[in-house]
Amino acid sequence: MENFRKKGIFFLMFWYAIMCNAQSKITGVVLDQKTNPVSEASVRILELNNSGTVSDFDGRFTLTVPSGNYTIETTFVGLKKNRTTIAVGKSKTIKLTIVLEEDIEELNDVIVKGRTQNEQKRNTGYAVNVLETKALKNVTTDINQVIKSIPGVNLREVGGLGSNFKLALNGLVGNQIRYFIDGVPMENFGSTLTLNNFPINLVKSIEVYKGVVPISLGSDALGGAINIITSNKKKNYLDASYSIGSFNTHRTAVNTQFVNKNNYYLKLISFYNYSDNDYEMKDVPVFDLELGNFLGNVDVKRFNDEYTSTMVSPEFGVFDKSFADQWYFRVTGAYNKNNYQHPDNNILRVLGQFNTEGKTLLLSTSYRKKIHKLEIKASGLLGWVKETNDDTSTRKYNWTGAFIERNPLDQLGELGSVRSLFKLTDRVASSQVNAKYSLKRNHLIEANYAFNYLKRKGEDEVNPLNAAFRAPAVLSKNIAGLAYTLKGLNDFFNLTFFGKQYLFSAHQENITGEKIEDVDFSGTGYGASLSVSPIKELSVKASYEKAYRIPESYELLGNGLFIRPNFNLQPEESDNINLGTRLNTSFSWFKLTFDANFFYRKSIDFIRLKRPEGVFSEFDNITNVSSTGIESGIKTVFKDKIEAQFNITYQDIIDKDRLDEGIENAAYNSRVPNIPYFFFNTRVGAKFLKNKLSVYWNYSFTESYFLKTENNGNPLDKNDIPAQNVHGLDIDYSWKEGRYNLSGSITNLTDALVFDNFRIQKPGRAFYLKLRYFLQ
Amino acid sequence: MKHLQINILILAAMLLGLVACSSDDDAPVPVSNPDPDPDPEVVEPEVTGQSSNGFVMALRTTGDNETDYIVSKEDIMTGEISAAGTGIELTSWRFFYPVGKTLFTTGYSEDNQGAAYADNGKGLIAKKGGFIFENALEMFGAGDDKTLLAMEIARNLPTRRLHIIDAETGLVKQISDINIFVEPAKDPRETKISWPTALQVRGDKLFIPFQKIKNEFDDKGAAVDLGTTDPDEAYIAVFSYPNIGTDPEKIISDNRTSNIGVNGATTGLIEADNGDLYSFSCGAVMAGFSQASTKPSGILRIKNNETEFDDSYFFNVEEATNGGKLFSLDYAGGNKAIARILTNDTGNKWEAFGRTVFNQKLVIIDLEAKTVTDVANIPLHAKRYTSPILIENGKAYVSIETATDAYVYQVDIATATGTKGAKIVGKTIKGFFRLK
Repeated sequence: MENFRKKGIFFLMFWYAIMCNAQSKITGVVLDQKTNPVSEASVRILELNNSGTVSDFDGRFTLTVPSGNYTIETTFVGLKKNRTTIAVGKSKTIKLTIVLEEDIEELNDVIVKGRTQNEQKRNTGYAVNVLETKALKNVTTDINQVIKSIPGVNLREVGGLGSNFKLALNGLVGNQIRYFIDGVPMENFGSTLTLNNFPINLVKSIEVYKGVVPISLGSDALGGAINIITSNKKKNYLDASYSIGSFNTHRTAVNTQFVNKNNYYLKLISFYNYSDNDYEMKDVPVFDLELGNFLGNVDVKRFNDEYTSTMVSPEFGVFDKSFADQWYFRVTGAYNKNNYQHPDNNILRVLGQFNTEGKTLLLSTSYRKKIHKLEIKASGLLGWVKETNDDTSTRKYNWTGAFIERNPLDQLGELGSVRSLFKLTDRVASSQVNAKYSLKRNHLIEANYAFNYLKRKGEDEVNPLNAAFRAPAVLSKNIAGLAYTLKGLNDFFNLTFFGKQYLFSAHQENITGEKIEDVDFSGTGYGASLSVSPIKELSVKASYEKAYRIPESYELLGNGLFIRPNFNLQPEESDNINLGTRLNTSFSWFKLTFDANFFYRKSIDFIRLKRPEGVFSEFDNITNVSSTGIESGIKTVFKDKIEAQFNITYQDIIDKDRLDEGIENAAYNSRVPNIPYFFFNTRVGAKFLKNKLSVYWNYSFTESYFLKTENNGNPLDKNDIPAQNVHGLDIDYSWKEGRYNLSGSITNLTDALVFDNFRIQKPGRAFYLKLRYFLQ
Repeated sequence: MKHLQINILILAAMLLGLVACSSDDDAPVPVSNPDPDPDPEVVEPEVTGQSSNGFVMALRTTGDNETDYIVSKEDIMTGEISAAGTGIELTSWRFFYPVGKTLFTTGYSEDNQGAAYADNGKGLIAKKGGFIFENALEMFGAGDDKTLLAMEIARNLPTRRLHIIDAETGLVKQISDINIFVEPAKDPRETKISWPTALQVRGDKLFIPFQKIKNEFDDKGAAVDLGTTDPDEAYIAVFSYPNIGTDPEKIISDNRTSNIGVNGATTGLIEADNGDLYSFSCGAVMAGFSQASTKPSGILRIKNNETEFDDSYFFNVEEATNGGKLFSLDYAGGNKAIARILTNDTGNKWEAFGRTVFNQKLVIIDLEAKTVTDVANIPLHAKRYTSPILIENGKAYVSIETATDAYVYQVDIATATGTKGAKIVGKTIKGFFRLK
């Protein structure tokens, strides 16, 4: 840190020195041959000791120099080096347009091309959205809020900051979607490391793969995968932010890196979030505490929903060495505490003290090296995750905040039928190896192997009858993948075939460590993706995968209370098809990106909890559904000043069970209820004052949908989730070339009643102010 | 939905009243919200738009997480009974129990609410009152024509919470924590507790037959099931009523047959016209017994004005049906009962509640004459949860579910014959009721 400050001071002094010297300015833009801006291109002045800068997202750069003659060298991977000589007079501004030509030699290398890495990903055959967070870093938001604007994605939250959520991709939801951070699966990381509290500042980009997942993301992702990419710059930087807002919300994030001249680096990612989440609930029912009778509806503030989460993750590594392109060790420590106001699906049961606590410690390492045509990546992770559910309160609350002490004989918890302090301790381990080999010019072979291990143990200090996981349960997953890619010249086409082999085993031990129950499963998934680009601006894509999701531990092993183990559970299966197109073009003052994707999912053997009839229930493979839909996104930028984007999704999720327990299913071929089927969002904004000030308006709409089967019930009193209209406003002011950023946000501008779930109300209008300091 | 503004004073008064009530118990320490809402509202009783004429039925639909609907239809002997475009939509799987002309429905603990439904005087069904509970209410009985008895049965605690609910208002009048039976063990996991199988009020007594149960654990120490512990004896706890103490006045037992009743059924004990009580004992593993009882399935009697089993009466139904075991018993008038018989016990625990074995038949039992007559024209079927059977004018109405379909049947009690009625578009009709 000390070093940093010195550098900062040095930079400042340098700045003043230059200012005093009556300097001249060079501004410019770096473009490729097709006039696409090239961001992150290096722009250096050879005469000034190679001092220089890097072009920004729009390809622009600014340099301040004393008068004289200079050679400007501009470089970018995959493009030819450009040298431009200029003469700079006193106190003049010189405008430059630097066009980088394609480097034919490098173009033939199938790995690196003129397109940016993200654009390359977008142009593969996968249905993928790559979201660059650059423009969003000043906004008070977390990853979830950003992901939910992607077409085909629907996010249903239970409440405010830190609340539980369900993310759906093309109709597949929850654990059917797998999450990764820098390519490492986030499985079993616990509640502390989820997308609902991860500030956007810490993230460089987000990749959302729908339905068809490349083998490099090794997991049993039935419906798709989300890969969070943290920043990976090879220079010093400091990105620190603090935001304050409604409901006593405070959020801090620090992301910094120090690189020494031998290419060793130290990086730190950290955040702290706190919120009271005490937003007002409108018209909630109040029940008498003694007898439970309905008294009336009231408007009240939530009073037991405080949320704290924090993470510190230092990383030590090297890059660009003979033995490694990058190699790092990372330690991640995270903690959260979450008070619950009510169960996620029921506002009738009010909780006044129930809370959960999570602690996670992860040690990980990742290695990357390219040797000629072979590119190797390997990572490993060890972790300890502790989750505590505290249901020890002896009180009973209602929505007014009033409570009574329970009769001592009555051992009820707030949530459970007996008070409990349940602690789950997980030991997790995972490793992943990926190798890519370029065979000749246009062939690429990729192999991936991922291993995931979980040992879960539970104990309850308060309820002796709760024996859930008292004897440890062990699950391990092995997923091997092999892919072959054939590329046409100039990216004319890109064809990939892949196969995935799943090996799964689970066992439960008894107290003495003997294996008791053993489950094994193996299966083979496969798929293909094809993209055709007749011109660079346009690609047409198709992809297919036969995907699986292996049962989770709680589905297989039950909860030791009322859910019995079911060792006959089969994995969920889905045939996923995408057909899409992408257009990315620009004229001098106008940029347009357009995506459209048609999707079809035919899913069988969904694992659901069989309803209790009799005493106990268990998870079973019971539902088959199909999901067909279309999603589209369009983004336009005018003169780099005005920006508009619009994303829309329509999906038809259909019940495909002909029979329900042998009886003809009346809901066969009708829409599966309680899932949004039509939604769109838009974001429109403009930049003012030399792009220092920007103003954005967001709007999202979700069509009303029924809680239960559409055709059933008297239309006069059908339960539904009403149509949602949510507006937001972001104002962002940056100065000193983006070093200081002040932004204000208003969410739910119209203070509308917002529900993602039946009767579960989300926060009303809220204000946030964020200050961000960014130095690099 | 209409909202009726009421004065804050009313709510404040209610809260105060609550404070006053709870101060009787010493323990409660109510605090009020530091920031109470100045503008409370109360929801008017809901008129549902559903006709209260004809048969009111609890229909369980297919698909869609098994939602229940309250539907109504005058003619249930022809056509179809379906929830398409009709019916009061409930939020989940529900229990249904009638008290006089009022129908109560309550959910499980993740849908911890109940309410009463009755005719609004204009031919429509109106929702009355509303209450919440903590553990699911799983056993029901009628105190009288205006009173529902409903009980929370914790699976791991001996205390049973008896709710006394007013059918006129749909509100809870009283909750009593009562002990039916507990036999503590050194290891708390071995403690024996009760599973009640009826709440039968007669005169100034409340009879609660029960099974003795405990949690069962696998060799990993996880609770995997509830198990009957003493299957070879019948037990009834006798409480005074309406002043129910915390403990029974006595527990009576009889070793001629097994534990009375089965899980889920509310008719372990029924009352005949003359005030005699009859209980049924099953003892089959497929009906939830951990071990089959060595005693025959049969019927015991408690004579009117008595609180002991009648030594002179036992109807060995197992013998009379060549090895069948009683699975339900409903009083049908004239000292007759309509009953379900498991024609054999497959030996797989709980299987009688599933849809894998269709081995149940309907019979008419003459309780006095101790005879059993099979009901003609009704196929072998399976049955899960059902409300008490509706019987009017000598006819019973039942939903009969076979492997592939479900139909309404009308049963003539006198002749023991069934007549096939409307097709059920759904899994079952849990109960037939009259609200007018």
